[in-house]
Amino acid sequence: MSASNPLVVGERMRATPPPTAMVIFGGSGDLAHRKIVPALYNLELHRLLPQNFQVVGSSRTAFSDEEYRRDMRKAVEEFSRTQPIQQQVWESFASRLHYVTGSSTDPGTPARVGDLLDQFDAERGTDGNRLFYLSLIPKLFPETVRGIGKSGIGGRGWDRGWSRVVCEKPFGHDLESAKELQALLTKVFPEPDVFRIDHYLGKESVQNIIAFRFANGIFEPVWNHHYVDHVQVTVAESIGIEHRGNFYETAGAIRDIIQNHALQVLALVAMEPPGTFEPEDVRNEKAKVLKALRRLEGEALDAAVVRGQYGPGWVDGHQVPGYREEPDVAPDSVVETYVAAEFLVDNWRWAGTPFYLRTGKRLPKRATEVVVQFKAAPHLPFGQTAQDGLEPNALVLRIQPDEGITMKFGAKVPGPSLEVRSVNMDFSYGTSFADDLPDAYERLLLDVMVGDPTLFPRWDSVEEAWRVVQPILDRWAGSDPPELPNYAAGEWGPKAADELIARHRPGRRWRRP
Amino acid sequence: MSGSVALTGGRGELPGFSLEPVGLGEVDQLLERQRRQDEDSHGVLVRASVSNLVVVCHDRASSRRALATVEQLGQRAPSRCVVLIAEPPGAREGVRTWARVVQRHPDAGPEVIWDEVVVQTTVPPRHLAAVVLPLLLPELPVFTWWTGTPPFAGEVFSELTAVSDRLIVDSAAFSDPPADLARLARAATALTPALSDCVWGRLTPWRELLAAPFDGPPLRGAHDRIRSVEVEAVEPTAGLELLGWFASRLGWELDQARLAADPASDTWLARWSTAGGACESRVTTSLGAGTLTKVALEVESDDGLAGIRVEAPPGHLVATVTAPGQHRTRRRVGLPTLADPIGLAGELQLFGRDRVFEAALLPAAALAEAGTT
Repeated sequence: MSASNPLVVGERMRATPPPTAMVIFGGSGDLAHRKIVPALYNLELHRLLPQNFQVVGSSRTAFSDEEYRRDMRKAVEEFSRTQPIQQQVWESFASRLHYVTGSSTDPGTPARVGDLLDQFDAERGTDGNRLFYLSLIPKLFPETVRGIGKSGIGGRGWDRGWSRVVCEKPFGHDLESAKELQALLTKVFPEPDVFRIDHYLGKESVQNIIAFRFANGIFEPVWNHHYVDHVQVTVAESIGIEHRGNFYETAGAIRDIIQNHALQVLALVAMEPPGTFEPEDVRNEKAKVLKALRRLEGEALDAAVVRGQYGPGWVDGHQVPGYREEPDVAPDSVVETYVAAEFLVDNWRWAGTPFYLRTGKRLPKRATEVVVQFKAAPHLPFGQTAQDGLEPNALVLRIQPDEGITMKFGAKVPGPSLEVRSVNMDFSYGTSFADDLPDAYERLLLDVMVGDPTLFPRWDSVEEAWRVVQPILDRWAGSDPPELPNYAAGEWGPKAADELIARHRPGRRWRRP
Repeated sequence: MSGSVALTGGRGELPGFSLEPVGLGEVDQLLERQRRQDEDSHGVLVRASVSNLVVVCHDRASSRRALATVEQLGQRAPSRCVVLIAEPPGAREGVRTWARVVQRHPDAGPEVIWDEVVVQTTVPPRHLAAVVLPLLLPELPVFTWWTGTPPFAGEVFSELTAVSDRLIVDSAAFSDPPADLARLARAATALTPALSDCVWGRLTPWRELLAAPFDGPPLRGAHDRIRSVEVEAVEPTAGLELLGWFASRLGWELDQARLAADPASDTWLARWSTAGGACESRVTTSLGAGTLTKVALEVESDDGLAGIRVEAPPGHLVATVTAPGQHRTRRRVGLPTLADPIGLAGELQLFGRDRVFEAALLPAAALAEAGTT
């Protein structure tokens, strides 16, 4: 939205981005089908795309524009959050979809894409603004980015508008490869034009962590080691690896979830209040938290990190195979499908307060949540029997699937005696804000177009997250794994994870989502 | 969607409210009892409330229509709903109250529960706030939806707006929409609560599409060179408010205005002084569905005269921009699928003043009054 357009200043209507031409490298791939194009269709449906907006999909699959539109129509029918598809809106949206056949690593492809973009600038008012979305497997990133730079269709030196590049995770395979990728990207695009997508940060309920913490005066005073016993971040999935054995064998749970989603959520929970909600203020505070995470090493690392792998079991009433029986997985694989880890944030606010992160596949249910477990009241005057059902206060920020907040506190049991037990006070998004929550990709794509990087991890955050994870990867690479599999599909992970959380204070336990 | 309704109220007088009236002070107890009864059969019920909605109706028929609207929007904007039927003294004396818990299971998403209270009263206008206040949920904002035309100069109006955080009207439902819009504009200058007109909310997608072309080439910065605006309005106040929006946002001054009325339609013709010269406008009432049927702008661009046109075929809007030397851009976008046709739910999600609307109201009223002076 242009600030120079007085017709949009102060309006209740939502900000729409400036004219944009978007290029999806990997335009016929899985992510384009499942997320990117359905998100764009929904933005168009809700009038959030600019009047002058064009999309070019590009990949090796040979398509004409019409064939590409037909293919994307099927994708939107299958994956759009709004159904049924509105025919008239689809036709209008489809007229903005174009396709260029060619591998993104073929030097001729960026040039052909560039010709089309020039044509859009001249005839369709896209104003020289270019968004390059790398919806590609990581090994294709380098050549594609070099191609953009060499062909002069965007990147450093581009002065006909803005040019931005969007990278999907994983951002590197380890610390070194992440640095190499960063060096390559920033050779072509300046850091402010690099948008690394972590779709978790686009979720409404993740953004609500910031709103909850900094829009309410009563929680921040107790949001520190004086009052908080520990914090849990759980990213649990009931699904397995979903035919992604090839990918998962090279990733594992720690690269797939902990290095990005879980640590980013931790940063939002632990960060200091930013002075403003300007992107760099927020990103500075997040980076400080990740820098303050104590690096694990040696035996301390062994004691603080638990890895697991699921064996056969039952999930959602169905018998499911173990990880090693999944397609494209080695029968003796030691790749972890579960990680639980204890981290310490070495700063004034959190000194001595452990943060427990866990993630796993084939757990009993899908749930992502943050639990802020408060310390028990210093003295309970009720007598042991009267308070058997009482647990310390806890605040649960539910991120998915039932987005909301739960506060656990003690209440008197009705009756003649003074017995207390814990009760839950629930806030559910669904009952207070009954609007459909937009998909994270819709929000994030809009943010790229308006140039707001607040919800995108900055390089220093990504690097720090790798610095946290890399010692774990190195240690595991040089040591024998525990006996795997060590939990059955449908269980809440290995027993060692329960021992981990209770090791400093018996009675600490993982919350059951 | 299914529902169970538990009720008290005058037998047969309001659909769904089947028992005898209760005292004003008993309403909360009764609703609480009802929730507990339903919990016995359905499990724990959580009342969803983000606001109080006071609906002011002039008779029982309009209250039925209002309840039907609240029913449709309840899942999106669940509120403690108080329907107030203020009858003139002398009809029936005193206050009669009915209340019920409404429970709905939408096709998707969680079950939603809210309260509805109907109050029929003949108390003197200056005491109406005393009737409403005990029925409001504490500390939640109070939205007052005035069905029909509010009596802008009356005691009822000042009494009820004094306890409101937001007054919501639908100028399309005014008895004399253009003239009442002018009265609303005058009343708004002294109004304490924020003000919403559902017509303005229904115009939002039109404003979005009309504003968007000025964000980029070839019309960036050309907003001062709009030479003509032509509006076909099913709801006359929508056309007037749209002109008021252009005028207030772009600093136009009204030079001349006149009403050309004929049996088929009214047309407000005006000439405005703008930063870049002058602009002619024409708002014509038309038949059809929806709020507007067409808006067409002529804009002077660097290369000649450009056109922006927004039309409303059923279910969506089409925006077309034509400019010399440019490919014509045409986009179709969805119209919000409103569970409540007047768009009340959108107004219930606004908590601050809508200053853009308030600013637009003044020139809109000036144009409306062209027909009366």
